[in-house]
Amino acid sequence: MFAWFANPDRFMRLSAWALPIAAALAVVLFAIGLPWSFLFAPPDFRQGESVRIMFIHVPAAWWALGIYVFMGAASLMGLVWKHALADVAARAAAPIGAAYAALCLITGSFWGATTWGTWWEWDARLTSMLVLFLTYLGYIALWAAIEDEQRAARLAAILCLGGLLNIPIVKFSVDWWNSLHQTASILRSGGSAMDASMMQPLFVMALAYLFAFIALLFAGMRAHVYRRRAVTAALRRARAS
Amino acid sequence: MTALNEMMASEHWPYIWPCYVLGLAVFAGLAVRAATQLSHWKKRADDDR
Amino acid sequence: MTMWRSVSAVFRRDLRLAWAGGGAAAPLGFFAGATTLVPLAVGPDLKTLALIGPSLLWVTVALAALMILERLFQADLEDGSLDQLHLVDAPLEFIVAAKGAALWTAIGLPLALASLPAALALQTPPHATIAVAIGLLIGLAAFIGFGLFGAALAAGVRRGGVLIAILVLPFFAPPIIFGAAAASKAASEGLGAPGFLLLCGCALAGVALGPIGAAAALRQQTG
Repeated sequence: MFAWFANPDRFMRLSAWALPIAAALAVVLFAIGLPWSFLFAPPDFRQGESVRIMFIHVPAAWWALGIYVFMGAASLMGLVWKHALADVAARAAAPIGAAYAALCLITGSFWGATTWGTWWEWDARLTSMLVLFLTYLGYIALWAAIEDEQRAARLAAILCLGGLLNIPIVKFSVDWWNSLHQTASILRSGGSAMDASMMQPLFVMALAYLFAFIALLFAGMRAHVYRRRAVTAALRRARAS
Repeated sequence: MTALNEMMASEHWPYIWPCYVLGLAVFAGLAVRAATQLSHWKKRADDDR
Repeated sequence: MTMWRSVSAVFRRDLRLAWAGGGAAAPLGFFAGATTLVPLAVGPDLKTLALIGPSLLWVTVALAALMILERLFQADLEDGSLDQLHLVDAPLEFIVAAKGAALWTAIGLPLALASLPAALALQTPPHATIAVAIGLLIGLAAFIGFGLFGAALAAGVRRGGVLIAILVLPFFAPPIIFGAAAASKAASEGLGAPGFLLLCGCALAGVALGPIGAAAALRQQTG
């Protein structure tokens, strides 16, 4: 199935109509989810109105992690089956994942400022998201630093898989570290039992983030395929003349 | 619009709206970046053909 | 047993190069400078120094380990000896591990030794300094293991020091968390401090997986 999809021409034909559909779905879901979470969702009984930040913050956290896992899968395919399109997918996904992680960190900081009274709490979740953001930056920097595209793809894929192993260890270590420096009952974000009136807009927003990612990913991948075509055409002309 | 008024009166309001503005800005930025890159390289690839 | 002969030849060659090139002096100098300057900045209050001392040692050692990574494979790549390492009858993973072990001996051991007087100056009780130094030595194995990976990925990049720093930073997070936590409890609990075993686990992961990842990356660097 992946081999079937990995053909660039087939991808270009498929994504030509899948891209506008995903983009339209994202716009519709945002059009529903944003007013719902901003205006109509009830304020939380403990956190009050500040809980509205969650609808921006939590989907960003989920998909920042999800996109990295996707990149890991694409990197593995690129390494094992040498599918050029898998490399392109991982490369195009990285800036989107980094943007989601940055959005998560900044909104987390705002949320902390208004509920915990500090702009940066060294909370386990925020800290591991910071490390994930750094991992994204390293991945993007490695792609940018190596000129030979084939080599860059292989090395970036190896780095991505290494990072995939590292992320759970980082999560475990910051959890451990946080329990060591346990501060007295500060207000935890989220909470286990969430009311349906909050769950529903949260899921709409999470879906909106997902379809936005798919549309942006397809756009980025298409741009990379076009770029490759332009580069090979330029090479061919240079050789002919 | 009482809900909106209540929210704007709350102490959290100065922290809530920047998050929504930022979220919109991030997605707008990503979309503009994707669109410009896509149109740029599509044009280059079509010109070279 | 020609395999072990080539592995130990690489180890001895790198050890010699590290000392002859004065490579070990730079991280040691950095370590001495940082552990002297920070108390000057923080002030001579002994309680504050005792509080931040172990963490300061860990940060300084992590940064000192970063300094030595840039030239680790670049010199081999430039003068072509990396291509020759492919031809050696030992697997590349072992060759890379030997290079890491040489680095650990040439730079890790002196750094751990230098941390003894530094820890004393930073108000660690004398009986705990050995535990702190042992922790640092084990932590350096983790730093160098993961550092090999980052250095191999960036080997072909000119002036790759900053890139290596970004690449390995996420991998340094767990050992520094466990190591610094163990060091700050070393006075009361010695090597039984919480985090010490977890630090050993990180070092084990770095020593085992770092060379594997580094060898996989180096195979892409040539040809």
